[in-house]
Amino acid sequence: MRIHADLQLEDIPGRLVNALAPIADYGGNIVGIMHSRERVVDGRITVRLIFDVKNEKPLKMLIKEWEKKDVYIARIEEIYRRVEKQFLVMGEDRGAKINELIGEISNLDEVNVSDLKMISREKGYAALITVDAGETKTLERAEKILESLAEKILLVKGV
Amino acid sequence: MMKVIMAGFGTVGQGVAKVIEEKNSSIKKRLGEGFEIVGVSDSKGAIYNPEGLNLELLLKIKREKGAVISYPDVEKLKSNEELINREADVLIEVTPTDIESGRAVDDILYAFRSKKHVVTSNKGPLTLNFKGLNEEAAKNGCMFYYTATVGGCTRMIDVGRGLSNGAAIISFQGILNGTSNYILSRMTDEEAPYELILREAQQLGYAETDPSHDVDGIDTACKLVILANSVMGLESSLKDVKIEGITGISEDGVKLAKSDGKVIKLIGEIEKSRLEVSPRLVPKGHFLDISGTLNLGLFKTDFAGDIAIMGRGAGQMETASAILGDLNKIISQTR
Repeated sequence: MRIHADLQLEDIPGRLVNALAPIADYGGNIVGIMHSRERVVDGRITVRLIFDVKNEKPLKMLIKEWEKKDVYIARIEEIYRRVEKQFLVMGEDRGAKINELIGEISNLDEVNVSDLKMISREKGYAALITVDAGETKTLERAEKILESLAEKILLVKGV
Repeated sequence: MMKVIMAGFGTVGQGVAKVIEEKNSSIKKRLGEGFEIVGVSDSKGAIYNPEGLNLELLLKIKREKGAVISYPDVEKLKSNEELINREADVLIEVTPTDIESGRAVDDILYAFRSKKHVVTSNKGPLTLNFKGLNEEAAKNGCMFYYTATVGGCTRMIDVGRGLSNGAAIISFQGILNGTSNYILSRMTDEEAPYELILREAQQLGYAETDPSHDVDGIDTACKLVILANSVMGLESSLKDVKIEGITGISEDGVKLAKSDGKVIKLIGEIEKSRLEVSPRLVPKGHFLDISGTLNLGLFKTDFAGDIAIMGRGAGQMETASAILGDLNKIISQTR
């Protein structure tokens, strides 16, 4: 998992090395580091870190370690690398079922309908649906919902 | 001279006669041997002359009388089987693609059994019995080439086979039907409905009177089967391909895609053992965003990355050029 953390450290030599060392100790890998001397809060400077750790367990141990070392954690969160796919749906009615379809996809865990563009007329409709998810496998669940309607609609998937 | 008989003398067959007439002397110079067409058939009958046919006269007679049997002073035959039974080294099978009757399969098998090499542009026999035909060719020590069946003059099969020698092909995506690509390109450019653009394509000769094989995705599916079997080592047939054509694509669908920087293309796709033909959304400027009647194949490989090949997938002289390339392979390998 990829983690974004904003740490606040005393502006004293050695504090940064002291804060970074445990990441490797818990099997982590630093991807990026940004050191901001301009942003000082309560006499502490802010360091923005991006790093990868295997899972929640070493992350929790790392946080405990930082607390012991008097490292303030201003923000810590997982960065989701979203995957996105577009679907063009066409049908011969006015597309009354599209909202229902969007609802069904949105109800899936960790799947988000990020954009919907639609043209609806008497003779038929076309809807361009953009769906994103944390990983490709999750996105495939949305694709399956759309494919299950393939007899009634024409589904055009993104490449 | 390598003696050649040709089953089918429509657009492609006449193209082959033209390219042989034009290139024969340079082929003789380069490879030490040229071609002599000794027999030809069309829907009205067949002719044979072991001394060779005059190609200029043959083309003139076909053009003016509509049938090769009007050619003077030659043996007249009633069927392809009789023609294939005559003495020759190679059969060029260029009858129209027929994925139902299997008649061309029988003709090609008969040619192998009478020890003739075969070159074809006909997708039908390869779609119906790829394995059987190749096995029969090998059993009789005959060569069997069908470069023109996929991507016309682009030599997509040769490129794929060449790539698979040094890298594994992970997947293939391609635009393999010029008619569908023309219709979708024009629908995007003009924001016009399918029916109107189809009529335009028919008037320009890009679409048949019955366009169903092209627009329903069948033609692309046949080409995928041939490519999957010949390049990627699968044993697939037409029933293994999930097929969706372009007839349901609406003007509004094309407009929505365009407003989002996308175009709709009929894509043939092979990934592992999955074969699929379907309209897909392609970002503008993507490899697969090609216009008009062009064909394109995109091979994804492990070591060599992505390799794309693009060119004219159909047309008389383009197809004839692919067939001539196959004939030259036979001369090179028999010398």
